[in-house]
Amino acid sequence: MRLLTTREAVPLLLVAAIAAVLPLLGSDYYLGVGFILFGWIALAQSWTVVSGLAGYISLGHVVFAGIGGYVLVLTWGAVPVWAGALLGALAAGLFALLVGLPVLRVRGPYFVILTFGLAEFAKYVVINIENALGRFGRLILGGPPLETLYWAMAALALAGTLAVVAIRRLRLGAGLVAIREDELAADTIGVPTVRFKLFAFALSALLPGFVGALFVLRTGYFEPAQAFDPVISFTIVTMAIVGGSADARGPVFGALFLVALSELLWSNFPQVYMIVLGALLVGFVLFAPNGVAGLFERRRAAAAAPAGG
Amino acid sequence: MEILLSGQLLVAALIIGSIYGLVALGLNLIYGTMRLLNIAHGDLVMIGAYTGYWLFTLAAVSPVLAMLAAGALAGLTGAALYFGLFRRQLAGSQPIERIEANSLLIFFGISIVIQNLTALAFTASPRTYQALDTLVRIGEVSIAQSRLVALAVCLGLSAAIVLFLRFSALGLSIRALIQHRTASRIVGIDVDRVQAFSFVLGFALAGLAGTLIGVTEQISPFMGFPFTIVAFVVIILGGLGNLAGGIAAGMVLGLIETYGVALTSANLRSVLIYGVFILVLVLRPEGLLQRRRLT
Amino acid sequence: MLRVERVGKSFGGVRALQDVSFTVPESSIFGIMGANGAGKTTLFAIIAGNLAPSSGSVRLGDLRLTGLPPHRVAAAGVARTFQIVRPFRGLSVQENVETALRFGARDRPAAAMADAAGILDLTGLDGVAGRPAGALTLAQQKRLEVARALATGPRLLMLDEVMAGLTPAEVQDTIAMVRRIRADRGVTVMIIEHVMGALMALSDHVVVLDHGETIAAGPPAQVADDPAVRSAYLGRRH
Repeated sequence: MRLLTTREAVPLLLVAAIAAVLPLLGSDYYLGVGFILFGWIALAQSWTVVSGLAGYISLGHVVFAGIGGYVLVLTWGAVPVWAGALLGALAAGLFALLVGLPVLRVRGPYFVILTFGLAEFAKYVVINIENALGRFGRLILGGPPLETLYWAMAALALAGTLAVVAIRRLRLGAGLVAIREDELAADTIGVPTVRFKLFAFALSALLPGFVGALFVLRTGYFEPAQAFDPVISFTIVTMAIVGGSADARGPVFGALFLVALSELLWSNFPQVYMIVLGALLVGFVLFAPNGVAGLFERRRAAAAAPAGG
Repeated sequence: MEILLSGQLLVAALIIGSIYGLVALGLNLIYGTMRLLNIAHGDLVMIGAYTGYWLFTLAAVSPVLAMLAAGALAGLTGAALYFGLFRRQLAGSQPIERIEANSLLIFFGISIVIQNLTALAFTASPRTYQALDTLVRIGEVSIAQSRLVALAVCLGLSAAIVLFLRFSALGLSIRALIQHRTASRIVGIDVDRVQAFSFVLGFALAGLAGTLIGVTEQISPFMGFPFTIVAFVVIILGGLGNLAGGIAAGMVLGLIETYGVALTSANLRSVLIYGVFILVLVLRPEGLLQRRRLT
Repeated sequence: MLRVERVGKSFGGVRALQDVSFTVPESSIFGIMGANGAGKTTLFAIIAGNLAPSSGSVRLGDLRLTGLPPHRVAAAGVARTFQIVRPFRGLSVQENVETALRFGARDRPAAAMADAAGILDLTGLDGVAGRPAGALTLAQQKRLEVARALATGPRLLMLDEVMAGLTPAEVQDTIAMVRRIRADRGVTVMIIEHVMGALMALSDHVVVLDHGETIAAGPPAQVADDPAVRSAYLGRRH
């Protein structure tokens, strides 16, 4: 087996190259864009683990980022910044483990709407806790500088991409794909479906927890409705579907494309940006369910196959 | 404590319950006949609410009339989506599970588009308006006229639709489609026509209910999703295709919500609704349709 | 090697299986006969752990299978095919087999876990290894069911109507394939089949189920002569 196949090398190199080049442009604007881009890549790669490989589509992935951010502000001042972010990631993973067992029993489309409901539920619980505490938004002063956050987020994006590449090679990845294709058949050939699903779910929550903490550090404040905004879940799904969720390339392609689009539209026409996103999701689900990466694949297969093959 | 025992709260619960029942009826029709999981359902409620708001604000049209316009507008939206997007999907050879899962993502996209088009047109700021707000006293209970209208319309319309499904030829076809999708085609039901009708009717009902909701609640482009969730809870509790059961389930949810909020605080309303939703799905993991496990 | 002891199963009051007992000898080909709805597939699902029996138990050697989840049953060396095929449609034939090789029975030599080529050859799928499983013909998908089950490295292989819907020539091929599986790999085979002739030709032992109950058991020739079988099954069908 080659060290890395093309489809594994492309996303890894792309992330590394972007991370190396952006600081050379010497402006905080590019660092800021890069920070967001890497955040989305890490989120979309994590989503891919449970939703792309195992086929359990989550419409509520924001919940893990929200938890990460919330734990960071709760521990702010009590523990060092990075320990707080790490605790945020662990809390998100732990939450996934706890809710995973009952939630992952729910199949197919019902799982999908359940994840959305779960994220909204968590949002309103946190809103009520904050209200009860009399806190309406929490400010965080003296977080790490942008450049540090940039490199931290780049590392998360790379880690997420590497994780997807690695998992696809492992027995875990083969089992998750089998679960996606036919869960009963997977169980019958010996895939420990319950354990694998739970593990994948927890794994796909860790990085988002970390990303959520970094988002809070960057904006300097925490507000539950924003930290748990369902639009974040929606954007993750759209990125992964537009890019293609079958392997590690898709999330990178999708995030690049959507972040570019967002830079173009978001500041002046935020609603137009969301409308385009919605239309993209509908269009890709209907006409190109394997995303941009899938379109490449088809083109290559057509070029490689002899006529009629 | 006294308020818990008063008729006031009970009537409030019945009104909310009857609205929930009507909203869910539309979703039940669409899911039942086509297995399309319309998570944009609540956005049609929102469209209906805005229709009522603008017709009243600009032309002083009473919500009682506006709701017909809202139903028509939502119905037209439904027709456009059915013939533009879903008809071909449903006619294809894809397995039903695939259509279910895809429909969810497609409607998710549609929902975002509808919400943001509305925000683009009318801004995202919440709106309210005062119509039909004279208080009516019945015994010791006093109710705003708008709520009384909502109760009457929702109960009347729900009953009419249940009767329509039970006794009209088209209604029987719809029920046949809900119960035996594949068999319906064989016995000569014009599946396409029945699907189109159910789709449009389902949308129209949500729009119509939306006007009634908009009279008493804050209107915003993003108000819809809780109603989608409510509708799902009602269908799961009441049973797929069981429209009468759905109306009863709507009442139960209305009671849970009203008394839950009265016992705690209005802030917990969303927590309560989403909590019930999660509980219901976790307890019935097979979802709306209790499929027989075949191995 | 496999002992089914007084297994019963009811679905909401309807009895699908009642008091079914038999023993499958090591390295035999063991046939299960019965009309539609006799409970054959339910029995397989119970042995494989896909369904829990309402009563009774199933043992593989000293190991009690009853109550184990399907993947643990597979780890113990029991594999089944599905009558209504369930391939991993999006994966290639090769990937289907490779996936099963990575899971399945625990105690296998490393060499056995890299034997995709041998399995594809044995099941006659070597020519279509790269094709997506969803694009195969039904006959090929039925063989893929066998290939994937075999790739789990089973001691006991349960075949559920792998010949249904095949042409007579394909049935002959499949019979030869089942014999080769036993000869080459020393696997015990349990087989459900509607194609009577094939079942009689293949099996060393046969059990006949009727409405969930065992009505006859023994060597094929003896069972075929049993009056109860004739009236309950053969008489009705042929």
